[in-house]
Amino acid sequence: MDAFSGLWSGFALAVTPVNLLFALIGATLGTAVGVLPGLGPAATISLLLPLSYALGNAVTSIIMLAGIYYGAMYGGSTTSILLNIPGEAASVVTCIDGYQMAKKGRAGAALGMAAIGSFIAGTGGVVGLTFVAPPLSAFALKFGPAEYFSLTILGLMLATYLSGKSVIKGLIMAILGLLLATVGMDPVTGNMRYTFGLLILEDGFDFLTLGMGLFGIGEIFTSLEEKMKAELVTTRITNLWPTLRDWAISKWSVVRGSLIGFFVGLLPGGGAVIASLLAYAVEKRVSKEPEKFGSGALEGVASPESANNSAASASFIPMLTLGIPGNPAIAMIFAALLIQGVTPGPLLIKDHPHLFWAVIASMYIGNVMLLILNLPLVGLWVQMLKVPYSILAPVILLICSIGVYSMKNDVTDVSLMVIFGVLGYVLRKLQFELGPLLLAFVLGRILERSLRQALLISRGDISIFITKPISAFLLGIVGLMILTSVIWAIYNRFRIKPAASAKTA
Amino acid sequence: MGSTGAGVMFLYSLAMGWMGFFSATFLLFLVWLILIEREKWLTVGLVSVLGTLSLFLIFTVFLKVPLPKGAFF
Repeated sequence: MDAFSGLWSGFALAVTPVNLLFALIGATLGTAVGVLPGLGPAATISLLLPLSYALGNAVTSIIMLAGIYYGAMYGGSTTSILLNIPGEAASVVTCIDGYQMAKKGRAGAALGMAAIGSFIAGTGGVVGLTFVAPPLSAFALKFGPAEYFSLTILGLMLATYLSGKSVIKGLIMAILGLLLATVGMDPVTGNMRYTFGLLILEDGFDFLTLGMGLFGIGEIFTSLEEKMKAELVTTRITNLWPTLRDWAISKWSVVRGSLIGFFVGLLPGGGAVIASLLAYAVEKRVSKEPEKFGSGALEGVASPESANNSAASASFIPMLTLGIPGNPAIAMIFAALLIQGVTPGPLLIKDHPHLFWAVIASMYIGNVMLLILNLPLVGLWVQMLKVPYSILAPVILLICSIGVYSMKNDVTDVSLMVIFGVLGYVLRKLQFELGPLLLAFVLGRILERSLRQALLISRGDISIFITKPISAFLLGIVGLMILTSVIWAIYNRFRIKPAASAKTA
Repeated sequence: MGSTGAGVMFLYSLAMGWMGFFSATFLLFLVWLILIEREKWLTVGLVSVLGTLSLFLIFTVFLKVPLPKGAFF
């Protein structure tokens, strides 16, 4: 099935009243969690996973969950611009220039440009998804266990390297995630590992319990310490449509942001957060007046807000075609697909074409809905920012508890979630990135299965990973990454030392 | 503050098994709003009652999600 006829059949399924309704629910919820600081798309999707199970229909529930993810990218900018607090991690850089614009009375232009840029980039990203995913998945069909092992290693390494400032901390988190994934029954021999004779550990840790603990509950514990005393700049938003001059300034920023976002989103381990940071940095570099940045440059809003949207769309590509989720939110959607009995990977398009194309078609529709939700209706979301966080926090905690409990109707899961919440809180305080932990946990099972299958094929000969060309190539990239970062670290050590001693002398 | 919140949540997860979900939830609202958020008494009362009631309506009456019954409710 070629892309056009696939998309056509996808639209036929996506425009049924139920699917349209859930696309709208997803987009609305996404915008809401994007606007609200302290609640991200990853936590929200995990909250709604049990509910989506009750929904029963895979297509409808994935349409909704996907809407939450890309919808959050729209909502995040509103809070950044008006409150100087990122509503969403991917909107951190939008604060810099967006808030300055709002202080100068140009909140309308900033919000408008963010929404329009998001729409252009989001739709562009979906176009990319439409045409890149099918050939990529056809290529990935050639992958055997050895190739999968190497690809997963590469994805994990990229996620670790791109996640934060410290590669070592990222690696520690990735290894912790892999360790947590080994708890439970051995998938090949059936032996119990690290269960300490406890019955609740025999199935291993549940992905949802871990995800909601780290990202839902843990984030609330952390936010209790950073009291958010922010003042809304303005509640009356006027002049939402950018002027012709605004367009002239920022049209190329939107294009650059969209392209950067798309390519970062494609990488396993890449995602909206990194995309927006990179887009801002590039924008500042190519600008003729870099000194404008930081005091209300429209380009500093348009480009990162475009980037995070196209990255969100693009990050569906490695998840759907290779079965490798690149960031926590997309990992939650990955888990949702598994719950619905659909295994994301090269066979997905072949085995579930209706699901694949309906979700993509719904993303075109969802972006139009989001443009309406975020441009004419932006005032509504501003009102929501007036709900005090002190009331919101316990409500979020309770909904997380209900979500985890209703998976297996077991209260020990709730306690387990709180324990992971404490872990997330402590790790955040020590400035560890939690993304690599969750991704390693998800990828750990794929990694272990492909490793052991590959070794069964080769009768225990590990050279299988370097004698197969694709696998060798992927591992080569991993080796190169490690090598360059080691050389870079040594180089920096030698370069900084003389400079520092020169200063003291 | 974060560690107080964590402690309260952990006790809550234990309490919901033997007291029942909604009585534990009502208590969690009270404790959370008084101890951690230091809200005014009127806010504490209103949010606890209305919050517990709306969770009951949404999850038990409307969505029919089974929640731990426990000794009380």
